[in-house]
Amino acid sequence: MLKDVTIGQYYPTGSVIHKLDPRTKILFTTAFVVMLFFLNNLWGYLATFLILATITLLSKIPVGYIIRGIKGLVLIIMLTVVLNLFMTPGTVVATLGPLTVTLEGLKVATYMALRLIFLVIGTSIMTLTTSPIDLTDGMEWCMRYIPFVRRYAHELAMMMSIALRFIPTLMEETERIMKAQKARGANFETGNIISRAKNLIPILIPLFISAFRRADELATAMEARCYRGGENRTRMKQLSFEFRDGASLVLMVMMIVGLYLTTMIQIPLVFPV
Amino acid sequence: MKIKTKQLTQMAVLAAMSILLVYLIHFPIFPAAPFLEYDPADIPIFIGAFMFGPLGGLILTAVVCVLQGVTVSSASGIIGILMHFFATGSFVLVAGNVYKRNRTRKGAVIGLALGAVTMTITMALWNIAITPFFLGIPVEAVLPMILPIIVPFNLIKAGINSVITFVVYKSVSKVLGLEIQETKIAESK
Repeated sequence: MLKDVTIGQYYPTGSVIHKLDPRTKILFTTAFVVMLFFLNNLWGYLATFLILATITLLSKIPVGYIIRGIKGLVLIIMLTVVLNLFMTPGTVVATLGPLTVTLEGLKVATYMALRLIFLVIGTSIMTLTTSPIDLTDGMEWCMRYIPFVRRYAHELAMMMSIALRFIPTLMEETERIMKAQKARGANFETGNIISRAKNLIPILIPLFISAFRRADELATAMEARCYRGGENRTRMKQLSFEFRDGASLVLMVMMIVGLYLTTMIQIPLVFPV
Repeated sequence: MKIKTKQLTQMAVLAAMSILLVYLIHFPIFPAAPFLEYDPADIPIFIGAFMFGPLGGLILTAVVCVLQGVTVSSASGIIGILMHFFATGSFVLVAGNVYKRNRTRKGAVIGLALGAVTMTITMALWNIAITPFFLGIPVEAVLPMILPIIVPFNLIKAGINSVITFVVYKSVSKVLGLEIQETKIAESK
């Protein structure tokens, strides 16, 4: 049951977006997320929607697949909408018992719901089009420019790659341990929260010990091959910055400027400014 | 702090276990707030904090938060990554520091208890500070949720994870301690 599980959401289609350098995609996504918080009218959200739609089409990822990504956030979005709708003071539009809906509340609720949805879609396009290993490589490069984090950039990226590699192995290990404990009469399916937490212990202890054994074996293997950290280390797969990356960075700057310009539009769209 | 190769691989498998545990086990504690889910992801991180000290624990927290953000719980995106980092990070800094100064059973208990309290306070404060910004909700709408929902949720979550960490760390360190001694004997020969 645990074996054929895919961790991560990478969806390969071989599109232009997939071929972009991970660093370009990380920069683009960061710029996108920051810009989202500056939008102040529906024109901006309309522009953002168009940008996301274009990128989605280019990436050849099925739209349904992307929309499914929002499902996990439906509760938070609903909470946001309800709280904003009823808690914002302003011109009353409708009254529902003790609750009042205001025009301002309607406006803020729409904006926040759209912002959350775009935030999630924007970041999930990055994880859908970039394999986790490429992503950690890109992150290592980006982390080199962040003060303090810089000292551990290589170690952090290395840990992420090893962890990604070990998740399926440990998954199998867990399944084996669970079966072994079930054979000894352990019961994992029933009970309240306390007894379920207690049932975790006979799985966790052997899992930790076997994980640490694997870690030690890996460390020995790495040291036998003279691994000594990030300095002067060469890579089998080099990241390369191509023409398409330059072009998309130019587009990114245009996107930032364009989105910023929308904040100055005074003509109202749906809601009075 | 210079990370040795062995520490690096140990931290990496701990991170992998953390991702695995969130993937396998997560369920809401309160039916009223189904978006607040319990998950045992913090257990390997707490054990890492005991083994490698507060800074190592913090590095491990960062690795897990980013990996979790791009793999299993990508729906919560940036908000999830940041909140998880602040919550677990504050726990790890306190528990790691206490245990570093007092490497006994008593030190572990005090560290975990103080860590759980710190994490609860941090999460209450960050929920007041960050949630209005991200969700656009007025602060007055968040405040009534802090005491009845956010505080007990974090206390229960950190409490369960602390107790499991304590039990697991005791036996794991016993086994690992034996293994370390064995290698030492092997080296001295």
